Amino acid sequence: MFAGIFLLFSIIFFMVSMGINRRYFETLAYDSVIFYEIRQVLSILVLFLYGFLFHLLIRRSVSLRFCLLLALPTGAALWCISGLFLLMAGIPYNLPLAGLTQIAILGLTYLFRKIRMAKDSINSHANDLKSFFLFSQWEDALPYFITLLGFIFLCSSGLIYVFVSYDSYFYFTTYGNTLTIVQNLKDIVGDNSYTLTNISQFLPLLNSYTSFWGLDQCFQMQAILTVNMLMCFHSAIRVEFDNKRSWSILFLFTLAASTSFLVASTWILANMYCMLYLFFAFLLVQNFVLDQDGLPISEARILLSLYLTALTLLRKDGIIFVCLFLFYLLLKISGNIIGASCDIKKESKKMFLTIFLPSIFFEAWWLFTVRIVLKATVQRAAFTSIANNANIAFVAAAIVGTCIYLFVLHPIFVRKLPFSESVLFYAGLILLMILLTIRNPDQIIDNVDMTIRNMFLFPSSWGLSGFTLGFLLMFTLLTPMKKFWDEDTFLWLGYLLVNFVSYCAVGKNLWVNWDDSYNRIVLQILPIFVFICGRKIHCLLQSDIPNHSSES
Amino acid sequence: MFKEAFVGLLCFALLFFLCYRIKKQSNRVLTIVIGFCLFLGIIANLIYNCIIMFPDYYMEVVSGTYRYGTFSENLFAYNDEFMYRDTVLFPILRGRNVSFDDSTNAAFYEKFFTLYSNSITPLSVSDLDRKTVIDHLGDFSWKGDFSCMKVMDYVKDDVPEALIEPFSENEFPAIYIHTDSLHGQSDLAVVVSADYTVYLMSLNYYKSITSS
Repeated sequence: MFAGIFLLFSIIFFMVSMGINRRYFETLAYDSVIFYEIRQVLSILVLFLYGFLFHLLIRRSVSLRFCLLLALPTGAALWCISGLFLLMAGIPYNLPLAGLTQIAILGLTYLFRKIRMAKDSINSHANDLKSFFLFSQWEDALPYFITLLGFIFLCSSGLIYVFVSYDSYFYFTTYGNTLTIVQNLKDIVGDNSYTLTNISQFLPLLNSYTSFWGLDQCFQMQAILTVNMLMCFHSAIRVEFDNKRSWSILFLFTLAASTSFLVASTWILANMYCMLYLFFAFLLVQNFVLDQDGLPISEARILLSLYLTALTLLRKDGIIFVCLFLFYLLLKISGNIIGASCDIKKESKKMFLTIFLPSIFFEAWWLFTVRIVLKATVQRAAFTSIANNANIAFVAAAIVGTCIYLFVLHPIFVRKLPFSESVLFYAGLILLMILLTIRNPDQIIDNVDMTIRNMFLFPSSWGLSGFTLGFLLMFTLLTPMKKFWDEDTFLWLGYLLVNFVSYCAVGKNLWVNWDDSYNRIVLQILPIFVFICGRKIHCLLQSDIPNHSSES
Repeated sequence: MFKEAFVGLLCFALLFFLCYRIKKQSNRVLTIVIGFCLFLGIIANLIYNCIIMFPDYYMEVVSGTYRYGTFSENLFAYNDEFMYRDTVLFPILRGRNVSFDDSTNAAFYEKFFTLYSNSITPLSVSDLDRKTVIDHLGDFSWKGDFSCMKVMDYVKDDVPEALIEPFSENEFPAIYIHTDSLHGQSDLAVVVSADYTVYLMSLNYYKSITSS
């Protein structure tokens, strides 16, 4: 009912926006504002439908509601990854070929489904597909779908809040548009190929998708994906709180109203997308990953590998996020909470490889393309170029190190260590920090100082949210220590530490401003942090504590 | 700064101790305390966002015109308040045919206009026509720097000698757009003067003021 009213309101707002936008739009563009805004809506709907079809083909156990909520990010990831594949393979990146590639992806997925059906029990898969059309499934999913549809209209109105900086314009929007015109990477190479050496290609490729629709930007895509994530957040946290609406709404607004979240989600940069894919990967691990053997189901493996590949292509340091996430998955699967370790089985090793391989493949291929094929160089910012020797060595070390840990060291540690591997991880990071502090104390002290200033000094991109999130953390500290130091805490705390140490290790100086790279990286973990705090607070309130007041 | 951080940590510890005591006493009171704190946090954030952050906070406080945040005119990746205003060219050129000045100076801009317009055809501009266009400068309502030519490496081949030094000092050639003549027009005319200044208008307007 409410969803329907909201949809109606959104459509009316969308139509009114055409009248508001018409004045400036038709003064400049040789286009109709009505068709332009309708194209904005269609561009989102087509990507949504594409992602939904993909979910339908790989579906095993993810509920229809989550299939609908994950459809758009999945569609976006598939488009961008396949687009980069075309560009790196030297195939012209134009609409017919990019479209055909998407059809081929769906065709191949359908083929794999058929093969799997022949291998496994045929009936169960057929039932999976049929269950999609059951009313009971739609009854749960329909309000979310209608609300999402309403937001698609709102986000396409051209009246949403966006925050744009130099990078948003030149490295994502106009460069993405140019890719659809030149259709290859060779024509981008010049004396100062900053867009190739210092910018990751996911966001330009998403901009190129909207450019194919004749649109000038992809602001509406970022806005709807943000809403999409908030809906997923609400849906998941509601399950955590046993369907208690008041708590789920409190936590939803704690996240959505925080200045830090608004800054991260409205700024047209890759950070919002990193936040999104990190959160979705986290949700997959939380809700759908494990089957009866404690292993990820095939559907979740495919989605995890897709989202982690998207993370790899979103930022230069994306591969670090992926490696850390694999550690988290390892801890989660092996039940590696303090004192309860077990080795991952052979099947799990295969699973880790299938999740990690696409990320390694695309990262290596991109570095090879930039360094060997395109020979792209930069006049400035050579130190931060992804193609310089130090960066390639760093990426290689991260990949090889993760593989060695997962497949060689982990089984040894599990057998020999009397404590959790996460303790080892924290200890390693603290040791590294001490070494770095001894090497260059001024830099480390300055970086810590800048991080705190960026969170609390006015005008901060955090606003008051630094304090409210501090409250959340304080409440979670009330839980028993064993429960606090679980693998979920490892994810957000490890994330903050690993990134801080990696910045210090490469000698990067942080600075006081909103656009400080580490400050933006911290913003990316917000939804996961709030979700984990929500879960722990729920456990805290559920815990059976003797009531001393009644005793007295 | 460290003094404030120390006081902050002290407050944090005190609140933690207080909550710990409440937890020991009653889970129900703790539930109310947590719910109230979350609610208070949401209200505080909303007030902060409404009063301080939106709508023009970024523009005024954070690095000025280098970046902007706005609720309006977001159908284009362009805003008149932004430092790099010449991005207005992208929506203007999209889907339009450009009659492009065939002079030597104009050649520097040819790749840019070829890439972002529908099609490009040479336009023979005599010195008299060029002077006529410059004489009508008062009718060109939009003026800005052509910064794209510096920032976007892939839209140019070689930078003319006269522009190398200005580029290194972040000085860009000017661009004038006759926006009043653009509405509903599919054909544009681009004229480039000797100092690399660009004049963009509809072809009809160009024909009406010149002898063409």
